[in-house]
Amino acid sequence: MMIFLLCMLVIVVLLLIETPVAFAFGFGALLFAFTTGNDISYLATHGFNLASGFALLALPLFILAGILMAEGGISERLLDFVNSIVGRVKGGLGAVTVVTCALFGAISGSSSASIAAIGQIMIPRMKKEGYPEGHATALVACSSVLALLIPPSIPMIIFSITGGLSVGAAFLSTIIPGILLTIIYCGLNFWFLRKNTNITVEPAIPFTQAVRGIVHSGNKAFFALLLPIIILGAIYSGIATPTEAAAIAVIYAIPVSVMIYKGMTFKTLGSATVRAVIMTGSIMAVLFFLFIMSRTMILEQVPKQLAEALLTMSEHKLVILLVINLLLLLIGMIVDDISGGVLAAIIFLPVVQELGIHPIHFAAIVGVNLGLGNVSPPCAPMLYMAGGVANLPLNKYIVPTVKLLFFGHLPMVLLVTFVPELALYLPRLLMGIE
Amino acid sequence: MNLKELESCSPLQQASTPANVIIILLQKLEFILDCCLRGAMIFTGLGLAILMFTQVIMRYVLRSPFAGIEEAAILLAVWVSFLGMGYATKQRAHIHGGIVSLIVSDPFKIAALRFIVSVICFASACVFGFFAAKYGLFVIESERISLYLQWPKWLWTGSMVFGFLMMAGYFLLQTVKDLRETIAIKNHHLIAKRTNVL
Repeated sequence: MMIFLLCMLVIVVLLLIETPVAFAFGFGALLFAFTTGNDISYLATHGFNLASGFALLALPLFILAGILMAEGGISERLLDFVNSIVGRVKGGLGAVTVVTCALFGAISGSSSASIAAIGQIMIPRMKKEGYPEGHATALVACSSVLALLIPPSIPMIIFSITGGLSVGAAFLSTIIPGILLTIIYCGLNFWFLRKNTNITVEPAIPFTQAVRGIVHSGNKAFFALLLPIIILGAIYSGIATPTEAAAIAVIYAIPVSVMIYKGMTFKTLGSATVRAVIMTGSIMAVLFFLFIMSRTMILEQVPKQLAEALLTMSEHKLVILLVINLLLLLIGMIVDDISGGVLAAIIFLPVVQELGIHPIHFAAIVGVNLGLGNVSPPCAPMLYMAGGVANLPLNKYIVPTVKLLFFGHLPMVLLVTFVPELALYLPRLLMGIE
Repeated sequence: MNLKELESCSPLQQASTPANVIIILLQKLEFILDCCLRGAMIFTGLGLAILMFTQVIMRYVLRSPFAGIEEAAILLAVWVSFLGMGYATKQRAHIHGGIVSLIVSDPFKIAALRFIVSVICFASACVFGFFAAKYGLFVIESERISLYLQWPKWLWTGSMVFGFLMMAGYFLLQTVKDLRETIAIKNHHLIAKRTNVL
């Protein structure tokens, strides 16, 4: 156990000095296997066998579909659609940002894609309409995390595959928390801006004209909004597996992006595919080395020892859950959501199963926690990315971010942890899980 | 001198500088390699989607699924993964976190840390690449074939060997580049120090 903790320390140091996550864990696994006297030669084979599993085929396909849709010109259409609904009230543009991030997440499944597509349009627009730039940046950063909660979510796919859970059920477990968080962020946005006098609002229009506007922009966004329905409909109606649904999504996204939205040509389709392959590669590298790390851990019975250590801390389920939440938050603060998902599945899933907590409930806990970690410094990739898009130093947007996280995301983490029905209601209703 | 400048020179001028000829050749080679890699990524990425969609049609519309398609899809997927890993190394697009750039302002320290990171990544890629190659050779020697398509299994494991080869190669280049950058920054610091003293 001591050797494992030392290796983890090495990994944390490597992560802090900006070593790619994959290679930090690869190096750590080598060190751990070497110091514990395990045979290193089988590690690459083991990683390859797991990485070439059929279930992981969904990953490159969902990434490709997301990139194709994100670059195919859907963001403007989604923004116009949501803007036509809530855009004409004070703070409405902030709500448009939050809701569009949630919708965009349902299409692309990626937080970074949400920031790139929505943030680039909405941060300047919000600034122009008098929103404090720190608030605008923080709102985009925090809302981008909704992509992890609204399916299809890449970290959820990885968590469920690593933990041997149903991808469909894991997808469903985070829908209600995702929708609730969307509502909370919209509410907080209105609350924080209620006394701001600098914000300009578009003049109100008659009801019939507003409805006409909604129908018009809804028509334009129709094909984009249809994608999540196709994906989720195919999975939950039993027509297709998540992998097959992902393939359908790609084949649907190509004509929509190239011929209908015309945001992409066949030439840019090639570069978008290359970007998707690179993104897949960087995620698969993390998975490959984490699979190896997990193997070395299992051989040394580390998860069992960790579980025992956690279980001896308290006999009370809720206390252990709180400790796990804290540890998940710490993991989320150090590593990305993909690695966090794998680590959670390897380390904590056996513990929570021993405690009698439903694994699908735990999937939702992991989802909201890793989302929180993604925007919590020191390693807050989404927060820094939003700052980069806004071209703003951290000190300008850290306070609004902390306020949004403290009053929005943190209560949601606790709610999901202590109210299992939030996570289990939909999987029980639609998939009949016990 | 970059590739365009060199190409704009007359052939005589180019021939007069053998070092430049080598540089041109290397850059052309890199360009060709890059085109091949990008082509392979597009082929495998889109091929995977088309193949899986075909399987959906065969399974649910034609009601005659063929397990061989799933085997071929896994083949494309592993190539997508390992080509992507290699190319992500080239573009420094691997997922990373860290706080160095937030708390360290000295460019020399940042460059030195980057060099250390590159060395660690290069070493890891070499070790895993070695074992991947060993496994690849074992698969070739044992003449394993796939269950449905009866294709040689090294087509699958070859992706891992190729991916690690790419990663090791690009990490080596990155290490050399980072070392040169670190030395350049150090020299620059020394020159600035001496100028201040004078």
